[in-house]
Amino acid sequence: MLFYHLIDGFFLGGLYVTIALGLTLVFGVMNTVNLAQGEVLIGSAYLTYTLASLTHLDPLLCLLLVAPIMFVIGYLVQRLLLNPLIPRGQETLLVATFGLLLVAETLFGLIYGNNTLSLSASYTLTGVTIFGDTVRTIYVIALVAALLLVVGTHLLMTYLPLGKAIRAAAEDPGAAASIGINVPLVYGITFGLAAAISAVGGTLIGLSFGFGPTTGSSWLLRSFTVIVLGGMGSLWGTLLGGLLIGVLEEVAASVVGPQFRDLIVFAFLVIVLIVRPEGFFGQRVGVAK
Amino acid sequence: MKTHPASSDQLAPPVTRRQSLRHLAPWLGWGVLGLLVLLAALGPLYLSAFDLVLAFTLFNYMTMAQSWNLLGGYGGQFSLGHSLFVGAGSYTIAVLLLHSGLPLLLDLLLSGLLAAALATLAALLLMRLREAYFSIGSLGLAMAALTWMLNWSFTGATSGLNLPPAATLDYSTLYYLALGLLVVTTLTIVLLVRSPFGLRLMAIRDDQEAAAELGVNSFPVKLVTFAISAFFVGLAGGLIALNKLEIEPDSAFSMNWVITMIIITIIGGIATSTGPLLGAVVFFTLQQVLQNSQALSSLLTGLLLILIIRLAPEGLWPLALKLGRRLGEGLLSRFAHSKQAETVLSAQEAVGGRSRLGER
Repeated sequence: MLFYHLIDGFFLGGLYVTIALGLTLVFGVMNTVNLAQGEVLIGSAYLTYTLASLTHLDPLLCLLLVAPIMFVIGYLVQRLLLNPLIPRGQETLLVATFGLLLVAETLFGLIYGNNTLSLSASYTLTGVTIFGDTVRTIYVIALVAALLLVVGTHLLMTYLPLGKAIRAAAEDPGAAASIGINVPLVYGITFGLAAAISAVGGTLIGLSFGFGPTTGSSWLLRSFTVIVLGGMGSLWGTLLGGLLIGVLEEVAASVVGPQFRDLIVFAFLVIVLIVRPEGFFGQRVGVAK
Repeated sequence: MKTHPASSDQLAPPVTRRQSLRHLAPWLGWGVLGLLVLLAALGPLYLSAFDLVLAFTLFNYMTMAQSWNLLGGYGGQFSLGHSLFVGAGSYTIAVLLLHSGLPLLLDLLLSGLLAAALATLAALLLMRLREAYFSIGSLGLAMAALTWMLNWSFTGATSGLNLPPAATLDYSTLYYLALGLLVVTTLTIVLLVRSPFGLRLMAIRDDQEAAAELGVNSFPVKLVTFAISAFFVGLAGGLIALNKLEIEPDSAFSMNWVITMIIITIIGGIATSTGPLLGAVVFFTLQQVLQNSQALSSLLTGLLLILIIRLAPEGLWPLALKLGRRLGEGLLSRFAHSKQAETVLSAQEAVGGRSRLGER
């Protein structure tokens, strides 16, 4: 039995990686904690919902359009709102992203109402048998997506000029600017990328669970637990952290009961913060691999 | 800017007038405040029952924002977990009224004390964390508490508790309790931040390492601040329960409480003691004017928050002070022999810089 929960948790962890990766990128490069990460995820789920119900296409296929839209939104948020606030320090950025959280939450309620929605596709209710355990197909897709996203981001950061510029800007914005890197532009692109990656996570949330205007903060906390565990801003740390939280939540929930899932994760977050706030694995995206 | 060398006898009269005005300003502030408190104390004489309930809510907003500001503004610990203390206060008074024979006022006091005790525990856990880590940690604690309450059968789990009929107070009593709490909270915090304790608190906020080198031990200061802040929020939570008479976890521990505290504080002016009061009036007015469309009002509040943090991050009250001071300078220079006053201004600028008159 425990073995089955381990497998379930491992695949659920894949989903957690996809939702936390955007937060990792924004923290690792800009040193900004995006309190609106939950709303970026839920907003993507709503966008996919609209597009899927308009076109009757598969939700994952809709991502081809939703991810670029989220990129543009993320880019604009960073350029217009967050970049000018960076010199004023982290607290101001917290308030600003908190304001975004509020506005987004209200907009969701205004446009889509307060009901819980979910995305549906042929694979949302089916399962795949792995080592004798039936795992939800959507979790398997999530784990594959997580691996692709982490490896893809790693390759981008390591080999492409854009990735090198992002790393330079993360390590020392002043020095990066002095060698001709347009730091505000790089920051904008980074936030855009993070939002586009979160579009994948958000759509997967929509396919796996229900979502409503106010479900964002619970996903923010889950994402944050993952990246705290993974060492705040480390790509591979996020991968390990996500998988670990998935396993932990699944196993603990099987012991104390599924109604305590949230309690388990949030309590775990607090414990990790207290015991080892610098996390357990890896280093920040920007700071060498 | 060119400086006009001016002899001292030319300077004398306007300077004294300016200085006497500057001395007078704080007393004027206290006078206005006293008048407002007096006006509020006579509230039940001229307010309808409906208005009394509105005022009750406004006072509680002010109290909670003021308390959040002590920790979040003066202490620089941006708590996202203060909803925990509202809920703790509400539930404590409900449980005590249901299960103990203690008098109501003692129950109320205990609900504040329990919130303070919880805050002390939370502080022991979280105080090592700084900035965003503290914020997220406190949010995690509050959310964990909410999920716990949703499952705790002793407090009725999701359906919550109903207060006994004996707890029903009339509107003017509730009004006076909320007003009294607001006055006590504001006075305590104003005195606290002007005391050596407050100076230590702000020194830690501005630079913890430097403060430590000067011998300020940050831990007890933060701990006490957290406990005081939670104490008043817990009392407000108790009052809210007395007004609603039925409580359940999703609303008692709602994130909206801390959101409200933060919005009010930021709009009014973080780390000022008048800011949260002004912010609460703005926030509450917006809420009441748009009460038919709650979504629209929270959308506007969110936008206002972003606008303020982008354009005037110090908040409305400092902004108003700055404008008022400019206006005052303008009026003075018109009333005095205009030439002389201008000379004074520029001479002062040459000596002291322009910082007092506004940054730009």
